[in-house]
Amino acid sequence: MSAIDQAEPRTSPWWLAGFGALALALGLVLSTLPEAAHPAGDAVAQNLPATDLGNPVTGVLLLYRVLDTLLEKAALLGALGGVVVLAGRQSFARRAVSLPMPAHSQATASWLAAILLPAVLVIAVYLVAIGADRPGGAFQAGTVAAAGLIVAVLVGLRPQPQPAAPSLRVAAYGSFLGFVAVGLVGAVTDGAFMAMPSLWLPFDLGGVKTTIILVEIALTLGVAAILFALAMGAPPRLGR
Amino acid sequence: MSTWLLYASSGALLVAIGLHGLILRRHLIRRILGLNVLGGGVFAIFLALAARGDGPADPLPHALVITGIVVAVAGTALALAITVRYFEATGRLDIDGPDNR
Repeated sequence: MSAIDQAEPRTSPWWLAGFGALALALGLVLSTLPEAAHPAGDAVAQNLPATDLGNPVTGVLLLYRVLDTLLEKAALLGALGGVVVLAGRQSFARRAVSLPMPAHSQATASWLAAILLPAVLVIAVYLVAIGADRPGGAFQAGTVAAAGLIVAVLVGLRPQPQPAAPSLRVAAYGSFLGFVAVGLVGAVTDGAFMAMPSLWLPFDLGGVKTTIILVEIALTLGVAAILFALAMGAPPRLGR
Repeated sequence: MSTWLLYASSGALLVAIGLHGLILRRHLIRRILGLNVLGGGVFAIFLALAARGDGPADPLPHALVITGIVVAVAGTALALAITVRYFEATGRLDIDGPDNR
């Protein structure tokens, strides 16, 4: 038996009882929680009309907790850096991410992906376009776009890029630096770092909502590129 | 019994299942899967708590959970890459010492 499909020891009944008790205790604690109070959420609800945003989650992500969003992007870049280093340019060349399958299956899968990929990318554009007003936004759109690209590579429709390919790097780091740059502009125009600039002098382009939509588009490209690159760095043919 | 408690209890169950995988499985990829199930349970509890009470759900936990999901995906990718390198270096996929074999 190889290390890949090694057997696991049977879990003893004591352990099972322990985990069952843990789940039960957690559920009991949750059921005894005091009645809901959302002071922070209420503050968002009160201030949201001033931003003209319809989706409160987008308001939280890009206004009230924008530093969290910035740090999340930094965490994504850190993970990408780790995967790029570990994948290694030398050993990466011999690894193929595409699924091994017979030629006729490959043709069918590739044909299907060629139909689905444009639809998936349209859905991603839709998700980021409505993100300011309805459920959707940069992370959802980026994830959907990355999933479409990953499928296209898996079936051999698109050539497999390296996780550190220049185009992916420009999108990943460019969106992060653009985000920081917008935050620096906000420090000048609105008096706080990472405040989304509401001034579009000398143009009247819709205030802070326009800024947020533009930032969301940039974040979508970054999230899609990072998630796609992460998948390209993890070879599935372990040990062959 | 209210709806949010059903979701929160399901999350609690996922936390227990994930912890089981994380603590008792030896295969590294099974452990990474356990960590993901554990995280999914925490996210479910968090979203269920946001939906308590009357009126619209609290948007703050929603924003933190969508952030957390993306970070969890990136962390999983990094953990898998480390696992691959570990396998290449040692030919093993568990971290038990020789005494435990």
